[in-house]
Amino acid sequence: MISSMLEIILLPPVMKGFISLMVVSAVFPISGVMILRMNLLQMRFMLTHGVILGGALSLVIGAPQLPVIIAVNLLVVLLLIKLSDDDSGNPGRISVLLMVLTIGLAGILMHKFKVAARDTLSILWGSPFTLNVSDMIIILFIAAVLLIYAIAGFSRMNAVFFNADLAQSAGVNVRLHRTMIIIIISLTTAAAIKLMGALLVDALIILPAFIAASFSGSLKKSLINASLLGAVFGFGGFYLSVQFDLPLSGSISILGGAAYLLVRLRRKSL
Amino acid sequence: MYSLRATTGRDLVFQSNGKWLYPLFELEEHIKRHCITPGDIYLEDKIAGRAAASLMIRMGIKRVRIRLLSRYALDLFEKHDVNCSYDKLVDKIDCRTEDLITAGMSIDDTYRFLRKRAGFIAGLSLKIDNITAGYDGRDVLSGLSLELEAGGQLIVTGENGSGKSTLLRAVLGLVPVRAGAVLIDGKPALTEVAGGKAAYLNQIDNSNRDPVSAEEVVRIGFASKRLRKDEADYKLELAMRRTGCFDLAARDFHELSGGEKQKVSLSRCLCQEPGIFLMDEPTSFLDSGANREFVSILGELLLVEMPTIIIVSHDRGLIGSIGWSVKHLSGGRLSDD
Repeated sequence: MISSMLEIILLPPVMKGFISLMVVSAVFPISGVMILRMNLLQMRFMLTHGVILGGALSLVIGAPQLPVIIAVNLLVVLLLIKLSDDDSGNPGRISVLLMVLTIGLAGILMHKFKVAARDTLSILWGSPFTLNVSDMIIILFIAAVLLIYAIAGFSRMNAVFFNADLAQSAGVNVRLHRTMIIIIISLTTAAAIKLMGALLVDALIILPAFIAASFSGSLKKSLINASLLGAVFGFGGFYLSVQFDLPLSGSISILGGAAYLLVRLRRKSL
Repeated sequence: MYSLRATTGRDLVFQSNGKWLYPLFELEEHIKRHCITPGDIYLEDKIAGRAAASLMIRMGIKRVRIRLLSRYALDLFEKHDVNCSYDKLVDKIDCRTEDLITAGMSIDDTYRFLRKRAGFIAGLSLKIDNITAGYDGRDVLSGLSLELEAGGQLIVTGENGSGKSTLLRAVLGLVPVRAGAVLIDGKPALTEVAGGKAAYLNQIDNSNRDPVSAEEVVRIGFASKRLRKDEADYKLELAMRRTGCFDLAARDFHELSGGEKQKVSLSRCLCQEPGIFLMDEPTSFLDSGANREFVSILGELLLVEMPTIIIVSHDRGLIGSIGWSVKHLSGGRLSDD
């Protein structure tokens, strides 16, 4: 069984997908912790819609999907930051506005340029085995940025998460770090979507962070546990997918969902 | 030949040839940094009058040998059971500092006076000049002015909603100041706050329940500074030991009691090494025991660092027990209580 798994992994397209998946599943849950700590779940939905707009645009202009998706998401997030500043720093309302605008714009693009909805909606599912080398490099680069920020900026990030007022009084540049965190979240969401699809990206980013938060007593432990859980879900999902010929994103989601339910049941029984 | 030498058994733990009382202040820092038991130290000093003797006694030194000792110092040593030997006894050491220490001053009073004279005041002056500040176009503070010298202390009282917290938040730049100016150490407050010069002990906030360890909360105090790991660990341990919460370091902050949370938050402020402490209702969730502990920590803070402190509170017990000057905030302005 192990040798047949290895044989499959060593196939070049599978290898690229496997490496990217393992890196993403071990590193990207860190951005899930960021989303939960900064209460940005609504913004994450906006990013998913931004991805659909980016996908539609890439089909219209015939450009590679991942860079266009990332660029669109970055633009949307920068717009969110600018508009939030003008709205007393409330990203929630602006997220809803941009969520509606991006999906509306995607619909218009698809209609006007006669893009097959099926092609755009393929973004909703995603697969690591369709990655090309440049996609892989982009994904690994984003993972490196996330990891470096989480390690080098840990204490400042922790301060911002705990209480922005206290962080500011301790001399932390809250605005700068909030902006950096939001940009990093937008990059990771866009990159993860290529692997997991817009609908199931939460399984890779949010679920491990959710579960880790329920049994970790510190931010550091939350980050480490989320990464470990993400790696387990990624590898387990890959194994299930190969072994039982299941879609990878679905396998990871089921695994993550089952783990979350188990942890909840265990907490209730204690 | 060094003017001051400290040994434990046969080991030399500290020596200095500094002037005036500085070697003793250095020794005090050395003892703290290296966790040396002061009672184990045998101290040799060139001259000791009332000032030096007070510092030695406050450090907890129990055995000293002084070459030139004043009678005042000898009396102090005998009163505090310090084993003292000397080469020459004189009535008085001829020094301006000795003249300024009066017989009625306690060891702590003398210590505070000497630290101030040595320039070891962490406190910064605060000047609030005719400010107007508030939220959403509503002025909570209007034409408010206040001046506090470096190392000064003040309690601000007032009814709920009178703007006590807004006053602290305005100093920190968390509330926009629409008119007037806030100066810390003569410079714009915003610049000084960005440099971590003002620490904020906020009211306990239970809205954020995300897991965070007590240690991580304390580390926020030096989050903006680039410290070596050993330096950061040392600061953290020192601050948490001072408030008696080092054993809570690994615990989830949200699972701590109100008193424990307050100790952790105070440690965070201490780690920041600020010139100004701004404390918002620091005793509102504390039981009487925790309240007493808080007052005692505050006393220690005033003795060692002498920072400038503003406390906003309506806790009559606290106001009575620390005996600071009090101002009352009403109608957006401060008046004497």
